[in-house]
Amino acid sequence: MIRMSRRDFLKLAALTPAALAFSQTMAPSRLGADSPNIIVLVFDAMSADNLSLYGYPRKTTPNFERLAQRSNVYHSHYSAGSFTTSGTASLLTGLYPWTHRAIDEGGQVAPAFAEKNIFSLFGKSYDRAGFGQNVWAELLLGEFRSNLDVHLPPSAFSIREQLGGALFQKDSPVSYYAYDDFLYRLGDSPNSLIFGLLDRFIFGYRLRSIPMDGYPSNSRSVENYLNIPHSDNYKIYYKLEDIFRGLLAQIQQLEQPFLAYFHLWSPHAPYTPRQEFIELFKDDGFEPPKKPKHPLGDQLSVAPIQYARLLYDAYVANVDSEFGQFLNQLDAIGMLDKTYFVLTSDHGEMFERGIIGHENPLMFDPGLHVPLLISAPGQKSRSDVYSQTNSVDILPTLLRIAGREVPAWTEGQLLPGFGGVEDNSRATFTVDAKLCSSFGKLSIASMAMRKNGYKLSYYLGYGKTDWFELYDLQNDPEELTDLFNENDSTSNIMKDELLTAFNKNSGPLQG
Amino acid sequence: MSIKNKLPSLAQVYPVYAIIVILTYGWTIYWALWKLPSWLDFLPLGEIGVIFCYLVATNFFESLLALFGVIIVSLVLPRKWFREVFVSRGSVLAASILISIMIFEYHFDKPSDYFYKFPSYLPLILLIAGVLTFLAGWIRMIRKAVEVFAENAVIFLFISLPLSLLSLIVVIVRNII
Repeated sequence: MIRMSRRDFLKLAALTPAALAFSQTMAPSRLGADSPNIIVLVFDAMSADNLSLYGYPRKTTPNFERLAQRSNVYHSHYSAGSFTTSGTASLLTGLYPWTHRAIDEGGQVAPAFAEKNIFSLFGKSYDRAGFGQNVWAELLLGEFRSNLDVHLPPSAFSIREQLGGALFQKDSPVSYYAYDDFLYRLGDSPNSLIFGLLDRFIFGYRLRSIPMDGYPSNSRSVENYLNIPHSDNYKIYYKLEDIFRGLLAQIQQLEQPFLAYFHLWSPHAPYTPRQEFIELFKDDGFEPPKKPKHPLGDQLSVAPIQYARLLYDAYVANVDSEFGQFLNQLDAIGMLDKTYFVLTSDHGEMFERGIIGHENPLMFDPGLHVPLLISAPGQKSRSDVYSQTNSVDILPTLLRIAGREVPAWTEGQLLPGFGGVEDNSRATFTVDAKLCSSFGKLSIASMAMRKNGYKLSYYLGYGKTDWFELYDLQNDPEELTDLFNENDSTSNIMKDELLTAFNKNSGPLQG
Repeated sequence: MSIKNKLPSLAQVYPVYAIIVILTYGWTIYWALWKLPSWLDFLPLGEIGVIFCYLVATNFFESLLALFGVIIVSLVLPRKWFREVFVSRGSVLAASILISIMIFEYHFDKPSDYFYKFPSYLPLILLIAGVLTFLAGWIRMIRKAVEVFAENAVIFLFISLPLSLLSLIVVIVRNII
């Protein structure tokens, strides 16, 4: 047995404060001195083609333009996916949909890539927060939940919400698949016979008293609630000002440095602007260019498309107005002086060619061209980038900004202005394969490759024959003239490159 | 008369519960089988299994709720009217109400429909259920047929009860760890 004398004890006691101080310097802590905060704000289904920031004739985004005065503005930024799941997964992993395989509606990133997400790469020295108001974005955040320090449910900051999955947040995303995407999903009959009935009855009761201030309402209607911003399949009703207020409070609670990913539902359909915005652009004389219907489109006539566009533009203006308040508040608390602020979208929205929305496999710009603004801490001037960029570029860029190593597996590049260079000769892609299994070969898919100002689209498996379309985006930005010709060298070079990339990545999922 | 005298015996409860299980679990499983190909497209089999655990656990509680409702009716009504023919009348009462709910749910989906329209359909549902329940105890042939069917349906409990227990354990464990 070791005996300790009184002298030994006193010597050890004298060393205790030094040992404690040493142990504290070695303990993992968030070192905020040099690392900047990062806020990624994603507006769902926001097409760059409908933003005055990018030259749209209707003044939809004066506050985005205000932010642009202190940002890097990317004019040719495209989503790698054509809807929420694939677009968001590409943004969060830096991989194209044919690689990460979150290609189905409400799907997930393949298990082999689940740890290759932005939150895991930032590591524990950042306070990492995720909010997916769109449940499909939440399904991805749920998959990455072990890498999140703060994980807000989709129903956060709502005025009326009822999500079963939120009761089992620890088991997200499975609980959301079971309850909100299946048993109690709106738009179909409830798949739980008794609780489904009670769930909808109670929610119907709660919607009766929803405050309509500022939104159109009719005293004789029992469905006024449909005029409040909401998700169409999930029981989430909210007001934009509440969401921004909640996000601001959340930002102030985060430990610095932080990485905050906030994915808002607006301006996704249903388009629900406040009363004061509804008629903002009515009879303004704006006539969008006429475009032919596409065989893969919905074949809608012009009138409903124009009406939907009018409502969408008004809703975008409403979103921009609320965003302006949010921006002012961020400024007032000095957050923009120590934060990289990224504003973007997961995919666009179409109002042309017989189509409203984005539930189609088409590869035209309105559905894929999305905004991207990055404001560096204390940035005072505007910088415009015109070369094409892709949502897979955001992950490597943010890693570089945070001083992290950019992994070799990412399919994106550093954005110009943040270590990258303007390079139009680089090929970037958008992929839609929502009709395929994420585990199998991609046999029904559409994809686009952009290079040197051209865009080649490829439609595979939708009809008896597959076909290509080629557009000159510089001289024909409205994509009215299909230039694809088997005898043309540009067509053939681009076709070979696209097919090589697709054949390399379209096989059954490995591992 | 004491409450105990109006409570059905376990031997009477099982067949009625089996009918409830067939309808509640059946409704969910029917739609889940429609959804299954979509899940198979992007979810690993293990996660699909867990989703089914959530579904079965939910079905378990709603089937107990329905059974509780039938037992309450047995307590309220005179013993001769309900308790003595509990299997036939309980089964028909549960089935007629659950099938009516199915028909309603198949046709309506908006929360406002459920709050505003369902209460106006409820008297009709209860009237039909009442008439059928009365006939099930009154006409001997129907009573016998229902009893035979319900007692044979008990076999489903040998599957549903262990499965429900297992599902509950899975859900609890995944939300604790």
